[in-house]
Amino acid sequence: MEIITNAMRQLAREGLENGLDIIIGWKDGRFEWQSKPAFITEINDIESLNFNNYSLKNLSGYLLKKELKDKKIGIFLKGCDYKAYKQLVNYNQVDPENIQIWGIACPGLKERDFHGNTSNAERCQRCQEPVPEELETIIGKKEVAIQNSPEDKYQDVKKLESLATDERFDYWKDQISDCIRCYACRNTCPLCECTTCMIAGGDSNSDDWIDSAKEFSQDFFFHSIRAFHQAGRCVDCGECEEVCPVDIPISKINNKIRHDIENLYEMPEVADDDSVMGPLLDFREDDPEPGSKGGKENA
Amino acid sequence: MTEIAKDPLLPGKAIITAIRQDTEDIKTYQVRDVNGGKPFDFEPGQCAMLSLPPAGEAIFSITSSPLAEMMEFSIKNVGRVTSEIHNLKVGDQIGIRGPYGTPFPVADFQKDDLLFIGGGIGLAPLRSVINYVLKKRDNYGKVDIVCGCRTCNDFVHYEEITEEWPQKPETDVHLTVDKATDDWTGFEGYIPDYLEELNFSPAEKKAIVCGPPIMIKFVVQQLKESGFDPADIYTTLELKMKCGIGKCGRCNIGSKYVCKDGPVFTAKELAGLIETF
Amino acid sequence: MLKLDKNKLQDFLKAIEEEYQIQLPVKKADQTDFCNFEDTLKPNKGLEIDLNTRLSVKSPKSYLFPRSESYLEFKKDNERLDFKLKELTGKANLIFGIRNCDQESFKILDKVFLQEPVDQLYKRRRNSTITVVARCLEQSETCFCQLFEIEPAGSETGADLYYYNYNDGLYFTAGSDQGELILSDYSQYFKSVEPEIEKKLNQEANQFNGKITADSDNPLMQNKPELLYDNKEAIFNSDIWQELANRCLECGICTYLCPTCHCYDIQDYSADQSGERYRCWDSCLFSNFTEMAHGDNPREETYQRLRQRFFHKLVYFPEEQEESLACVGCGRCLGSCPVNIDITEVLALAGGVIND
Repeated sequence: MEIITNAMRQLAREGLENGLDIIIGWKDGRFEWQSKPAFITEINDIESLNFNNYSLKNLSGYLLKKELKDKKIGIFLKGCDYKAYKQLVNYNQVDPENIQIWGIACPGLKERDFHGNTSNAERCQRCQEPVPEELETIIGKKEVAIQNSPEDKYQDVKKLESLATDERFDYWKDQISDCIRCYACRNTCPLCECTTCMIAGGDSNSDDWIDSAKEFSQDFFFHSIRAFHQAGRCVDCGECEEVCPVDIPISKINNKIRHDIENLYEMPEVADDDSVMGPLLDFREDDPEPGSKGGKENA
Repeated sequence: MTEIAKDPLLPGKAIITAIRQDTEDIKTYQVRDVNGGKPFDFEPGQCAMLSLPPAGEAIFSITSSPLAEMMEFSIKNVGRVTSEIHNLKVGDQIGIRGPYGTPFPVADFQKDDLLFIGGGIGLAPLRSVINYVLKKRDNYGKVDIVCGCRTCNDFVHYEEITEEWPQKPETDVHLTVDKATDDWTGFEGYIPDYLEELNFSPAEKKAIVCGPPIMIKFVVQQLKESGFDPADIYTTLELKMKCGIGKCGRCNIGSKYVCKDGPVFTAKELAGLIETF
Repeated sequence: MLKLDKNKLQDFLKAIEEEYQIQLPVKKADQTDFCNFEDTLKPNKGLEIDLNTRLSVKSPKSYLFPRSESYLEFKKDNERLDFKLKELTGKANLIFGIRNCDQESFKILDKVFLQEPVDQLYKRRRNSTITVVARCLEQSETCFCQLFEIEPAGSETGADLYYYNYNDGLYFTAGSDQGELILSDYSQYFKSVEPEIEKKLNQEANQFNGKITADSDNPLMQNKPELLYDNKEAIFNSDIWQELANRCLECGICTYLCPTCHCYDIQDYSADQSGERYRCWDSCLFSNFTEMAHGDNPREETYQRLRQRFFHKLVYFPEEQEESLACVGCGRCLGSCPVNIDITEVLALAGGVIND
């Protein structure tokens, strides 16, 4: 961590000296188990940059902030953050010309639960690419142990798939009925890039598809439609689940879809460049249509 | 009546009894209760929450005089509720609750000269006071009414403005449009420019201003420059509201809630408030 | 003071369940939150009563001011339109094991909803809610209730019942007539308390209530909440808001978990020509909170909305409500904001503005 922090400060200093307007990194929070995004514009503030065990926040989403348009930005991205960044580039949401990226070889981070117990972050346990290898500058030790194999990362999904339909429904009903519709999952998601959310503006003046009535169906609709909108885009950075104040296992929904996409459509979990259409943007006649009567059988 | 029946969020029932198309996107609705009277008593400048389920509720200033036997609302079609209102027919029922907010202190205006300045749909709340004052004409001094709109087709209550009001004793109406057509004989230009030309004396005069925020800002500034005491300049604020009773938090500005502590404020009160957005 | 043996707690709750709908802190997976007592009796739910965890995820405000509350039914029939208020049915709520910070938050909500014109939806819930406060004899690291002059170990009145959670028992005192009534109606579950224990507990509580003051070493209590009030212009116009806005996600976590945030929206929920009107929580951090139908928005920028939230709690609310601050120091914002924006940080930054 100290190596990363020192390198981060060094690069940030060089960046500001060489004309960048703002550096986005992390600094320590109030408690040892916190870390928060840092926006540095002054050389004097560089010493506040700190990468610690809890620097989970995926910073790439901040590139969408309208205040940062046309600014020259330096940003630190871990393996998962970088995957999200690439998607933003694919979807023309950011201009790479204005962005200097420094990669972080992520050693795997920790999370702290409501009761104060800490453990290896779940998202890190699933992670297959902790090091953004493609980047020119990578700080930290490049040899990082992968915590689980590609197939093992779907353990949770498989466990759920093994349940009967009504058991699965009960499970999700139990989880989603805790939702308070704070929209933190959507707002923190680096790939929820729409400026107006079509499924939940959360306001009575807009013609939302769903409203805020405390109906399970409405909350369920919100989460499932959001998952579908992220199909083929979600990079499993785990932000949504991390921020959820009521611990809804949102990543499981996204991972179920990712698992299906990999199996049914033989697509990479995330397109590497914009020549590959996302699974929901592409239609082929021989696409399998599981669950639909009359459609082709599950591949 | 049980306690529950007094719930402030429960709308009463009202009927649309007449509709007049004023401009391309503004209609004036006459509203009565089911027995043909006024849905409730109010004072000039107060507002009512109109209810059109399932589109929802929205708050509007009452444009008719409190002395009239019914209520009128001039409503511009801008959003979900207002577009639903624009679909209403005579005979349709709506929900209504109120009155909300503080009124213009018409009792304090007695014997004073009054200068009304309205921009566009901002005339709606002013009309309530103007008609009240003109009905009790002897209690007030000279009345000047300055109205401005984008074009001559955007005046609401055009006939009343051009024909009824100027007939009243000691009452002058001054009209201006941002963009004149060939047949326009009045002033062309923005209201602050027109005010400069009209050059009203602030002596013994109260100014009552309503219009878009930017117009209010410049008019109030101009009035102050020409010597009006900020305590003698009255205006109404518009903010999004849901409950109308100072609880939902939406129209909070400083320690005030526009729905109950406003919408009428003097420029003096506003000076400490408006920046607290 | 009366003692309820912990191993009798379930029997006691089952007995009073005849009269009340009981809500109490329950451990579910990795969290603790208020739940219906009935649900803890279902073995397959995996819920376990948790009287030890200090704070629940959500504040119990939802029992007075639910996340979404349908209050009106409407029916349209051609031009005819009818409204009918929905009635509140069911037993009174008994909220067991709330902490004194949350209990104090009800006073703040009362100021809003019970001032004229009285909010009848709130009032009817408030009148049918019994509270049982768990006295705190220790603090967790995110606590700062004493910054707001709240006594964590509780006082004599306010709640209907108070208890100490000590060794194998819960030691009750009544805070209201209603509380007295419960202790006497269900006296078979309680036994008398030896005077030494009573004395010891009261002493500890007094000590703890008075122990931590705003100038203690606790970093959360370094800046007095009056700071904003006393220096409102300088702090209002300072750039700390933009600094915070840079990282704010504009989500509703802080407002929705906060026990004193009370802003709401009113919406209609319909199936064709009939439906319901409900009110639901809303957040001043959402960009459309103040956006008007024609598109103007007086608080268009994130920094304005963040500033509004904290100024409302620490400046506007006290101005309006006889110097009462609208924060109880429960620390939920401290623990839950994904980017660590909390009221004590705001106070610390504001302190920096003043000292510069």
